[in-house]
Amino acid sequence: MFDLFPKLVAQSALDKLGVADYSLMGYWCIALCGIGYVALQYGMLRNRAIAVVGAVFLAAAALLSTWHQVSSLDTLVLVLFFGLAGMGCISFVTFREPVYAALGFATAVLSSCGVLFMQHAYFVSAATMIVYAGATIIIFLFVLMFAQHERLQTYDLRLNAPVLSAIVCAVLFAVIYYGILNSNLVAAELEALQSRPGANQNDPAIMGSTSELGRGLYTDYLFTVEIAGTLLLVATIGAIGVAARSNEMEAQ
Amino acid sequence: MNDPATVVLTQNLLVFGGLLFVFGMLGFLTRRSMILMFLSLELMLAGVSVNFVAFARFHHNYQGQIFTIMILTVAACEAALALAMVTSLFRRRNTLDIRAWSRLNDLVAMPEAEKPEPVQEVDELIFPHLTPAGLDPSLRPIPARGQEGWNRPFSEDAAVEEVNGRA
Repeated sequence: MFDLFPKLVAQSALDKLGVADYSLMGYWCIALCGIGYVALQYGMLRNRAIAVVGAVFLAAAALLSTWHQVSSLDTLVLVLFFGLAGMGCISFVTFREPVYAALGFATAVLSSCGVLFMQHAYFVSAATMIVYAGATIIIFLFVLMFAQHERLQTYDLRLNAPVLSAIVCAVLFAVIYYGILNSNLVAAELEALQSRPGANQNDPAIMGSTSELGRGLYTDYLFTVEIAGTLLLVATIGAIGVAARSNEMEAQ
Repeated sequence: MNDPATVVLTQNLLVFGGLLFVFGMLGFLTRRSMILMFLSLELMLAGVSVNFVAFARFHHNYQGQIFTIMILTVAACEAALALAMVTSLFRRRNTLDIRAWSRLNDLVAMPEAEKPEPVQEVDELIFPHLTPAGLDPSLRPIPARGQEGWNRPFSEDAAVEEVNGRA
């Protein structure tokens, strides 16, 4: 029998790698998250106390999952971004007012842009910020204001099978988590590290240089860029076609 | 070649990407407003982008970031087309409810499955035929655009009533 209740404090950074504690903690967090989500959804419409319990469950899951991650300032900022994105996601799936939900989405995406920024993906981070949090969210808000009724409708308030969806998503996430932790990623890297102990230096020239990324885009991946441009053109024409035809029909 | 801290960081980023993906999927499964469903799709794409960037960092190359830029392109196209579709669907039924369009599916609420007719003993050859499925358009044709009642507001109760009454 394995120990169902993992110990909360890891001894060192290496302790986190292969230890079953870390993995078990994650499954507990996933279960807490699922229960918290269902309680929050149930309580929001019926009973505030249940909603508060659900929120406490979610917060406990967030705390547990990041408990022994923080070892440096870098990690602290990263974990703060993770937490902000998680809160954005939760408010996105929880809030009944569509505008608030869209703001939660914007929070989640902006925080993930922060995470990307910390991985030396400066251009990708800025582009994601512009495309998602700028263009997409603004256009969606326009459509929302165009199409939204004054009062909240049934389809805003009622959800499609929240319990079943929560179970499905929790199981899916547990499977993803199991796959990540039990892949041979760690073992292969550690083995390579042991065979060549001095070779763990990152290549400083290739990390975080936007000009290198641009050179790669316009030399090795030029064809892909052209295809992407064509796709954008076709999508623009299609969107104008779909939207303008209904205008015409309405005028008749 | 990565030190253990980078491996742990990559694992954390992958878990984070999975989290975004799963929350997007949760939103897509539970929400009934079409706009929020498409926002959920965007959230799933954001999770996939985090995955690609994490692997780009892990392998010290740019392929992941370039793929992320392509994902951004596809997300922009998808947003434009989705909004055009949502706008025209809204004009037609005056609601954002996705269930207003569930009749594009098979039956909404069929009380019992239609049984095939019993085979009769005849001299002629009997060819097998498919079980009837879906609404019979000859009984009540779905109005084309511009005909009377083509943009009447959708009522879930009326649709269920209609199907139940026919059966």
